[in-house]
Amino acid sequence: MRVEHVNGIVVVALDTELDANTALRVKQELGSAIGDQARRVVLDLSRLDFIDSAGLGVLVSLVKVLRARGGDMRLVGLKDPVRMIFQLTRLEKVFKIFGDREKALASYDD
Amino acid sequence: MAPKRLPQWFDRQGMTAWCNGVASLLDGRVTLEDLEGNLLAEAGAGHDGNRRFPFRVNGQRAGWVSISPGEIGTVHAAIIQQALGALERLADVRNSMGDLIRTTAHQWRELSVLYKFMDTVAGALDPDVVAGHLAERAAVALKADAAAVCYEPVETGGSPGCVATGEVEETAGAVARWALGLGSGTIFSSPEDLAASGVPAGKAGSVMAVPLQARGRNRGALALVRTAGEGFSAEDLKLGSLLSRQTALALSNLELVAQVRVAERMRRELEMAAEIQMSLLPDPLTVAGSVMAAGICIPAQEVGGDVFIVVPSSEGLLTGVADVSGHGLSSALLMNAFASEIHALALNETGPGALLDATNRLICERVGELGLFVTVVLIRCSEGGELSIASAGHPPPLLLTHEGGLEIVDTGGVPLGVMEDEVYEEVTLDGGRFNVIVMYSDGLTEARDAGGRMYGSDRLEELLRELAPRHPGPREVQEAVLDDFRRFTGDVAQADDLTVLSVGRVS
Repeated sequence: MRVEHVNGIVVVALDTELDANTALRVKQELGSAIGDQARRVVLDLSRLDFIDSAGLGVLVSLVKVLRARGGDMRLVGLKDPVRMIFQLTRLEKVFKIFGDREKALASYDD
Repeated sequence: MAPKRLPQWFDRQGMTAWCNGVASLLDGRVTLEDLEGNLLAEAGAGHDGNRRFPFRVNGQRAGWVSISPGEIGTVHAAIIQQALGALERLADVRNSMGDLIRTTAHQWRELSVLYKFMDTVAGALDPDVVAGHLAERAAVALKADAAAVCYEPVETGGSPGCVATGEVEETAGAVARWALGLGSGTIFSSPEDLAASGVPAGKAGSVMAVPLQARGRNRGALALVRTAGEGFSAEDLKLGSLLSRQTALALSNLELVAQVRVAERMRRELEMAAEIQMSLLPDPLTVAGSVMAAGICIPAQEVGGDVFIVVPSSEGLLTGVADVSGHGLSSALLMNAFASEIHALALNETGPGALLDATNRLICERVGELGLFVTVVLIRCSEGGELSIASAGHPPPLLLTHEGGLEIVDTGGVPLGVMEDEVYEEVTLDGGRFNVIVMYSDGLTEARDAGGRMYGSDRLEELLRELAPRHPGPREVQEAVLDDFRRFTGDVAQADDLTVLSVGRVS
């Protein structure tokens, strides 16, 4: 995964699928990339063609941790199949989804 | 003229043969004596030898050759020089052979010790036994007054150990513990050396400490102590290291065995959990008053997945389908907790929305910051004909109408376990308008055929639209869906549990 820091926001772009096979590893890597202190995250999912419940579980877990710290998470780059799964499970209510990186970063300005 | 060819071994026979050779060449008498004048070999007849020549072995004077006849001319002198040269070379060869034999005998001894040791250690399943073998064998083979072997735990949660034997076993034990962090085998040949290196060796004269290293880690250490006498040699260290290496590998293997045992145990537990899971499912067919529910759950390979819910009460029937995220034991446990809770609460006549509110709080508490969640759709069919529907992130239920059409009830909140304070709304419908309600888990719509194509919700909706005008009952609908599913997927094993529940009026 590619990790950048922009204005105190951690921007991570996943480079593999997020499913039952990769969930555990990605969760650990995201944990390390974000660390104990960061509160604002933008997650770029543009390389994902698919996501399953294990993958969703990783995102749910991450957003809970961030919100417990008083922070939050934004998602960008959702392809149609992935977007649809968020719609079907109504998890798009839980995650703030943006069309592009800039809008996601800007949404933290307040 | 070269001397007669001599045999390989320069022993008494060889020496005599050499003397014979020279004596016959010179037609005289030849004797060999050692430095003390002891006769080693002799040959020939005639005059006593009256010329004495020294001969050397490995460059050092080893004795005398006496040669006759008396007058030694140029030819004789030449022969004598050559013969002496040959004698000396042969003596050197003999010595080298002797050395070679001694080395070979020594290596053979080493190998025997090693083979016997490996034989006992390879069969042992207890690290204490393995350590004990090393301590005993090493003490005997390397003539130590005490030996100790310490080792790290071979399984998670196990304890380290230390075995010591001999007169000063406590000293050996202390040194072995000290040596756990050593990079390679080391000899300390004197009390001064020991003190200088900080080895806790009490009054030991000499110490050998060898770490047990295998597969990239130190797994323990061997310590040998001699209280007096000669210190350990480089040869000793070599044998000690060979024994240590075998021991380290044995301990490493025991670690792998322990891991396999753990994996086996977990696999068995998962199997048991799967059985428990299946036993919690309702009957495939339930009739409560005028309502009938036909449900099926087809598990995939692993545990943890779907349930369908059918709970009759005096007011009607609560039905539903639930699906937990992920696979494995934690998912299965969460599903068990959810199913038990729903069954307990359903008896209190709580509406589906309130049921989801309550179970959501429970699930949120259970999962904490884990990413597990449960999707559910619940429909209560009251005896009076009213349908109350609530959903948490689950595929929408499909309703076959009296008019022969299909309605999709798209309502609901997020899955259980995600947002603690979520309030789940209920949708109320007049049950009189409908023949059959179909609920399912995404194991159906996400099933794949041999070509990797997905079954999909479109295909399901089309199937039901075709079926609806025929006003089928719940069992008919159930069969039609499963037939179509099997036709689509063929023999392909599915990755997810599949659940279908059809609820309708008894005709």
